[in-house]
Amino acid sequence: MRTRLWVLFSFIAFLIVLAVLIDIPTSPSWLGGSSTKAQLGLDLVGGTELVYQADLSASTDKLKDLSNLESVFSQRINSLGVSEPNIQTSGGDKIIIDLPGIKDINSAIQKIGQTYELNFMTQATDTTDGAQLYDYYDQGYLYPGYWKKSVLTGKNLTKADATFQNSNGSVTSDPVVSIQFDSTGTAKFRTLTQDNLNKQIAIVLDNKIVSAPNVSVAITNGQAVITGSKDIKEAQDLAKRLSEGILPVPTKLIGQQNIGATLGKDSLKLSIVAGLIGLILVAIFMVSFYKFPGLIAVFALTIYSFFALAVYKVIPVTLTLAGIAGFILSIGMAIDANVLIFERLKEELKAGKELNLALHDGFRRSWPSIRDSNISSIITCLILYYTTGSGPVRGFALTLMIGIIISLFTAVTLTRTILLLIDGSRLRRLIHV
Amino acid sequence: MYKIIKKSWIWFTFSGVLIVLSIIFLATFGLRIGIDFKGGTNIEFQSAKSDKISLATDVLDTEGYTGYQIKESGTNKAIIQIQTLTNDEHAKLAADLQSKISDYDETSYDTVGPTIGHDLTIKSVWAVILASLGIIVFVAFAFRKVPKPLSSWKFGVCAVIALIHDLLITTGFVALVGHFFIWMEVNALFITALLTIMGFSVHDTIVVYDRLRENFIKNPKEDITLSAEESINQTIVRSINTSMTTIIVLLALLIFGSGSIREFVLTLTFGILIGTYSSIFNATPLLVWWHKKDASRKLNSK
Repeated sequence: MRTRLWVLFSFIAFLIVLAVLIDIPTSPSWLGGSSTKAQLGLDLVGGTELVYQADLSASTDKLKDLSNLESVFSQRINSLGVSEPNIQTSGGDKIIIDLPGIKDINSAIQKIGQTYELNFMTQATDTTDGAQLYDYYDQGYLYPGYWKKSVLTGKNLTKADATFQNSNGSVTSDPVVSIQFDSTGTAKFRTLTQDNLNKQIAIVLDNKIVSAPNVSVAITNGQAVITGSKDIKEAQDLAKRLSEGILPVPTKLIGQQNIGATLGKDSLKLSIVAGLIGLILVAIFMVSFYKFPGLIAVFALTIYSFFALAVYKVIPVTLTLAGIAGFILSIGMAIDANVLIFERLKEELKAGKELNLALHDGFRRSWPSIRDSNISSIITCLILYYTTGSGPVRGFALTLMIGIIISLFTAVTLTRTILLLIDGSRLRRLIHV
Repeated sequence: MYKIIKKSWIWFTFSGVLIVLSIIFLATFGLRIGIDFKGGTNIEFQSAKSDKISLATDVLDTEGYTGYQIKESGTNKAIIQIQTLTNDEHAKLAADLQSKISDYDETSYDTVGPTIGHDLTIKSVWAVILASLGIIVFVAFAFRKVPKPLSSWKFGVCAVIALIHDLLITTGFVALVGHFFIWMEVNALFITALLTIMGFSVHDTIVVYDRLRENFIKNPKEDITLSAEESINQTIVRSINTSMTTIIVLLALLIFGSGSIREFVLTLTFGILIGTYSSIFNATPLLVWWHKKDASRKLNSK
């Protein structure tokens, strides 16, 4: 019996060491090193949250379109140089973007939500029906001729890649950008090339002419190449701009939130202080009410905090204000199990039972109510987690649920192991409630 | 021993008064529905100027905004609640406020389009319905082995009645506080608070019911009033101590914590207090009253 207790105790001690190693800022390398960092939500570090809604009404594969949109957004965000951005889809048609540390919402929105305007223009006679345009590469050079917009735009583009092409019999390969239209674009491009045989069609990006090739034959397969790049680097840049400019589906910015960095830092500091004060008060309360067992409960609670933080880091859970509230609230739940056990222990001792038997019976008899009451809380958490897609609520439900599950272990198994070990030792006279 | 069941009428009257008051608050003050639900914009700013409210009001009026609200929300802080703004409108408004209020500092900005709000309303209603159903089913299941003449579904229904009592009074409280303070608004976190209160309230009720079940199995012949009285007395210290520890932490959060979620913490604190009260003073007395009523009817019909 005692050997089993010691084995259990060693196992718990091992878990505690593991948790502490994960918790400290620079974990050993075999635990992921310093990369296991606590993730803090926007309300704690400050920053901007943008919510985009995709118009998927015309989409045939909604999931794919949304994930394409997500990857286009992430490419653009990466080019913003934000550290630890967070992009997630929500509710089937929304994308939530968290940009920690970004204060200037408008420039972020412009960079993320922008679409480069790509137009295919045809020749015009003069300023009455067209306009003069500058060259894309040499921005001081006014391109000869007048140009007007056609029905074909970058909206119908599905792909843009940099590649090499052998031009008419030449041995050297020229860097080009090959583009691919979708089905509507292919049809439009065919008509456009048919109507403009032996004329120029200008490929115009943000109102600047990239190239204006002569149409020698109608193009029916929806593919075209853009020549004129000096080297492969230039071709790659152009391809990148073109493909980044393609948002797979129309999107709308439907929500945004900005939290100042100072407010975030203050919130974090205040929450930690409040949490510590709360913990200390609970500790005082428990020790003064339940004496030595109360002290064990406080110890279990401390271990519980180590475990919970380690789990939050490993999963990882993004901690928000609501999430911290969930964590602090789960301390209340953790203590509840101990209060139930000790109250029961008191009764068993009052009934005249010997300490060892009272301990066993106390734990056994309080278990059904601990189990049932915690299951009902877990049910609530699960429902909260799965019905609401929104950030703060999810964070709260997740931290509370993890907290409840861990607290079942620390408040029951850990406390029992320690109390039973003490019961068999010389310290047993300390246990009176 | 505290005579709690014997004095049931006191608790029922007290709860009745609270419920009536809550309904009055809800009907007269209404809830301050936040932008999470109806869409709109919240701008919180910091400024040490004492006339910042009137200065900001001037700016908002000259820009032609109507139907906005602006109030102090803490030391040197104020909140503007206004319609959903576009980026350009926001930029212009911020620049104008900055020029009028020299130490203007926008600490947080939150705008929500009407579509998100609509989504959230539907989701929240679902969450509450599902959670209630989940709890009834779980309680009925957990107490399936309850001995005759008690019935397990009465446990479930009484637990849920106590729960509705808690939610209603908490919502009434939120309406009352929201009437006086701009930050007490009904947002996504409010729904979270309600569901957490539900969880806690049932948590407490289950502990008392669990004891009643145990005592009933031990002494099936004993009068239910006596069994219930014993069960409450055996668990009352635990109920109060647990709530105490939770309330201690919540109060620490409320007093020392960040003001950003004080509506949430205050709602939770109040709800947990009410939940503890109802699980001791309502849930079990109600079960006893119902059981005795049924029993006497059966007796009369014989």
